[in-house]
Amino acid sequence: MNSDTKHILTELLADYKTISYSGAFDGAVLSAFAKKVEKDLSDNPKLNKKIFKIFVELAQNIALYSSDKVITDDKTNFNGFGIFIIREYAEKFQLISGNMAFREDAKIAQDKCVKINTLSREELRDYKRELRKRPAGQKGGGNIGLVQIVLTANNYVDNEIIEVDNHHSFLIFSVDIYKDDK
Amino acid sequence: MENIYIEGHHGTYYVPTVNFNAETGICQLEGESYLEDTLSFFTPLISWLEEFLKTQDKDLIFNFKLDYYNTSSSKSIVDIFSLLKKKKDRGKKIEVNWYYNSFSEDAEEEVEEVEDFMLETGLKINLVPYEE
Repeated sequence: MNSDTKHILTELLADYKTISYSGAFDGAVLSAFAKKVEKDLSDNPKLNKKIFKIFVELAQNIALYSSDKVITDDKTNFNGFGIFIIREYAEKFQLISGNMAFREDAKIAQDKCVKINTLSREELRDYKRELRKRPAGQKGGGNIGLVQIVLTANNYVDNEIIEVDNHHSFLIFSVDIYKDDK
Repeated sequence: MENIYIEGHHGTYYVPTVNFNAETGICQLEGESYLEDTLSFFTPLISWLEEFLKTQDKDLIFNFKLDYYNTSSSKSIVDIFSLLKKKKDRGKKIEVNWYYNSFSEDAEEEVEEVEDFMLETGLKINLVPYEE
């Protein structure tokens, strides 16, 4: 972890947290986190499943798109490095992901977030179908996960970019999942 | 033509159970799909379907019973539906059933997603509720 990431992480973790992780998003981490989220987070199975679905999409964003990569144990691949936090409040859970990204990619993600947050549910479904038709890996063509997050959470995705240097930004996504949402 | 059977499991990732039977023409995909490498998992399944539909003079029934799949898996599911739609339009007898737990906490969202698959690919998918 570089010093900028460490500083940002320290700030994000300064207040109350339920679960947090910083490091490489490899299979084992995803698995351990997913099991915790899916089974134990609350006594409401619907809420747990929602949080699990959103966690998977945010975590995969980090694993695939973080510009801060670490090589896997078997030396065959790279995993993205990032942070993940789940905070519980009286009325909601808040899921936050953060990772280093190339400035251009962070801007694309931010623009996509702005667009997604203005769409109605029907428009989101249309947009998801449109994105799914695009070939994998096309620049700006991904992020179906972000659309799915908004559909699942029934709430918008908050996004923040912290400029780190001339080439990198720290990209943060945050989404609130209300406990009484039907 | 050989059958495909993959036992589903929850390990580091979630692997769905695959049961493609060339003798009966019944294909099943069930469980949960959240994979390390989605393309590597689904590409052989799609190749098997292409081969079956090219060489076997049998009806094909495809039963989906997926409790959970991530967006990456959904792209591959759309690829399967697109292939089946193309072959159906060319005269192949293909029936696709999507089983969903009507008591599940997210049954409504699941139905919505299957409707989106139909809109996206033009393939008719029978929504079959079950209770568990």
